[in-house]
Amino acid sequence: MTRFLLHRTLASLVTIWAVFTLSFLVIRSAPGGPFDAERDPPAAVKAAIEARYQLNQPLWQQYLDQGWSWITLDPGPSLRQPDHDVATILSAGIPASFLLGTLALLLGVLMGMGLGIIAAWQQGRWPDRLVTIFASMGISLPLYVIAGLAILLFAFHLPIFPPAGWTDPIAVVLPVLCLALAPAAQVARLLRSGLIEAGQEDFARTARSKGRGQVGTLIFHCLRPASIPVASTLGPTAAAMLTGSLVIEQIFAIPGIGMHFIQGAMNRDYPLVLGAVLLYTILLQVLTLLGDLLMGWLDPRAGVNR
Amino acid sequence: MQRRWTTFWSSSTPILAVLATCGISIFAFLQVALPDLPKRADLVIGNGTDPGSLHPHRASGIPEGRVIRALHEGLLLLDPETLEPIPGCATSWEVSDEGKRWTFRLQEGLLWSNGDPLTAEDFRRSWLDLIDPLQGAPYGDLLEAVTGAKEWRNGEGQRSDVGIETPDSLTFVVKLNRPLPWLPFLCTQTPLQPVHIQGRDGTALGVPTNGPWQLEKWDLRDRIRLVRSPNYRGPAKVHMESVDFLAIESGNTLVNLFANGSLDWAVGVPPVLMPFLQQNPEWNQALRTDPYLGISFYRLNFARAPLDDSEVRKALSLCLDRNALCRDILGGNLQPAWGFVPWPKPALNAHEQLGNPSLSSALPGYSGMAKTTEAPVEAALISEEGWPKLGYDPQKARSILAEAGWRVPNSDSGRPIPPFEILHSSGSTHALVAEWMQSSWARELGIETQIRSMEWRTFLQTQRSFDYDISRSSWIADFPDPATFLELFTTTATNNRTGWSDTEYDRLVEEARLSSDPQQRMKLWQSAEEILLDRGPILPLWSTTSSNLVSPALEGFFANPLDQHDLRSLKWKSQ
Repeated sequence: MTRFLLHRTLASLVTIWAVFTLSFLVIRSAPGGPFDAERDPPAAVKAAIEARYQLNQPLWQQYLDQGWSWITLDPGPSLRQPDHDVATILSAGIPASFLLGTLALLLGVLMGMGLGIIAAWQQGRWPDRLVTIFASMGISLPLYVIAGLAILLFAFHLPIFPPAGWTDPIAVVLPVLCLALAPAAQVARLLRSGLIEAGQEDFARTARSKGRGQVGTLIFHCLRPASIPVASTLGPTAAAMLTGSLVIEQIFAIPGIGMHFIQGAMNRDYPLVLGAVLLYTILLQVLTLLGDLLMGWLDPRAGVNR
Repeated sequence: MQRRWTTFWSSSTPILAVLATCGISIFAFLQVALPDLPKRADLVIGNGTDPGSLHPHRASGIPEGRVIRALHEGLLLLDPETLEPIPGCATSWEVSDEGKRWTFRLQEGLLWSNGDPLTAEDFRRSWLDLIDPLQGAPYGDLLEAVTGAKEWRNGEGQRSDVGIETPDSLTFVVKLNRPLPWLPFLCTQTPLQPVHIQGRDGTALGVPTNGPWQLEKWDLRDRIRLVRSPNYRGPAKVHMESVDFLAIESGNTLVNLFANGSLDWAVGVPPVLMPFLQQNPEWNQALRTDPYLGISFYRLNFARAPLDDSEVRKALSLCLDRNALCRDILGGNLQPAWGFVPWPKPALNAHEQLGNPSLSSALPGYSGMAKTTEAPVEAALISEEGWPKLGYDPQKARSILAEAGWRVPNSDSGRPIPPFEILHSSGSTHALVAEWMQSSWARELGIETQIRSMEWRTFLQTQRSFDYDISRSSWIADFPDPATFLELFTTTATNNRTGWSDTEYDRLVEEARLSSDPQQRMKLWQSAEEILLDRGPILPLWSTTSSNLVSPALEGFFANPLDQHDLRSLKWKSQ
């Protein structure tokens, strides 16, 4: 176990370094710069601004400086919002994104598991078909359509929730519901097929022959092996959800970090983009590791404990 | 039974563990993630994007400007209704030496929000820092007419050579090397606001300001809250104790929040919603759309065939029916641009058509400017009739091309017009307009064009490196004078970006810049525009329109072509 953790930590560090290097090269090779605008300042002024942020130095020097600034956790100011440093900008957005992501993930997994169990239990009958339709819609409908419909229905036709905002606990409900649909659909689909497959195994047949009912067999015997594919997707899904959603943040005016991934790149705000990418990579590594540990627990054959 | 529960627990422990972790996280996050529910501010503005910087020298966007002008007070303010410059920190000002020396007298007893005295020296230091090339202020060139400023910015002079003087703590003198009739207007704008000495390093947070409000908090990408500054002495009488600027990027969200009463003023309305809002009486009461001093146009690259041929350029322009574009493609809310200087023509015409009684004050920026030069300009010089115009005449376009030896539809003679590319930055409106131009030219002239769309900064880079045939552009006035538009296309202008050079045009622009006679200047601008439209590198398409949703219970919000609405004048009808 210790060896496994050590091995994974080392691999994660290498991955983080590789992602940082690649992101640095990609964003720096994008045409245009952070201070370009329709109105072009005189060359001397532009040079002065670039010098202020050390953008006039050789690229390798900037790479080393950026790397070091992240190792020392002092990434310096954002290029678009110079009144704030990147660490402040990201940490200001993390609570909102984490709250939104955690609630949506929790709701998504619960809904998905419930629907998956119902679908497997009622396999081939109308509840199963309903769940399948829900799952297809949850996966294929774009978030802005779901969010638009939700606002129309629950903020204007039935004015239960505010259409946007982030100060009132009740304002959290709509964005969480919208964001939870996709993971719910995914979990429902995976769990349904996992349960049906496990239900045909010998141990399930044995359980049934000993008098255990259909639902009991599904929950007490099949749920654990059927959860393995769900657990394997949970890590990346959790990382994606915790780092925010650009669409949901825009539509509901939520001050999270999802926006920085897109806007940071569009604005060529180099340190902010690198910060956002690093944050996502680290989260992904940690959550994938947790997902793997969970899988090892669910299925001892996965070899994590050895 | 016991075994059954053991199995159940062993199956569901991970699920329960996840649930418990999430529950604890939710509790912790609800404590941290949701800011304390703030008391509603007296005025809540949906301000668009979260500002980049609140430092007057570093800010360049419109959302920034709204906050900065509430936090600071310049030498002068704009009258909220007429846009005439009125006293701010300066109580009076005079111009001498043929418009080349301006003297401002400051109000006595001015204070910064922390109680420090505010003197003419603060203004001098701020203006010099704005010009300082090492400070890298993007709008420093607004003051290039100040003696010694341009040389310093070009690395040939120094700070002490710049013609800004303070004979005493209440007198501020600016010496210019050419008349700058819009200097009083500039004194009201964001870059020329005074900056406290603590803000010299470019920071804006925690730095004292001198306006009616001071910064209470800035929750990133959420809200900026301003509260009344105890040290503000006037002259403006302010009615709002606190103001919130909410960072809301999505236009639809702005409308939604305005609809449920969370916002008192929403800046910007998505064009697609305009017809709905205009038809609905309740919404129409809150909707304020006004002509705006901005122009949307296409640049033509002079190094690329066939755009190097003036007859082809003329024909391309003659085939674009801007009325149809604004009516059918752009939703009917924008003004077709038949010239490059959008002002005063669109503002004047639109207000006349609307029968708006504040029509004569639709030219306030100009009349204010004329007043400061003490020589009002003849109405004919600022009316639409006085200005040159482009036309829509596809038949004429075809005959121009045929005479110049190009092949036109239904004819076999002449050289075929080589295909070219329409470049635009990404965005659905831009794509629609590009397709409309493509089909207009294909239909009327049989010209083949391709469309290329690019992400904004890649697009800017491509345009700057002249790697385009024709490319989308826009320009918003820095000050209410034709100079802000027509100086763009002189041979040496940084923002020309077309390769076009015309000695006569350059001469007219230079003469207009040096002229101290307002009548003469306006005539010279008209002649310059005539050349630009006749031989120039541009296809003007429409002039911009501002759109705001403003609570009908709010007083002091006036239509104006700069879309600048001073918060000092806003008050509730019940107040």
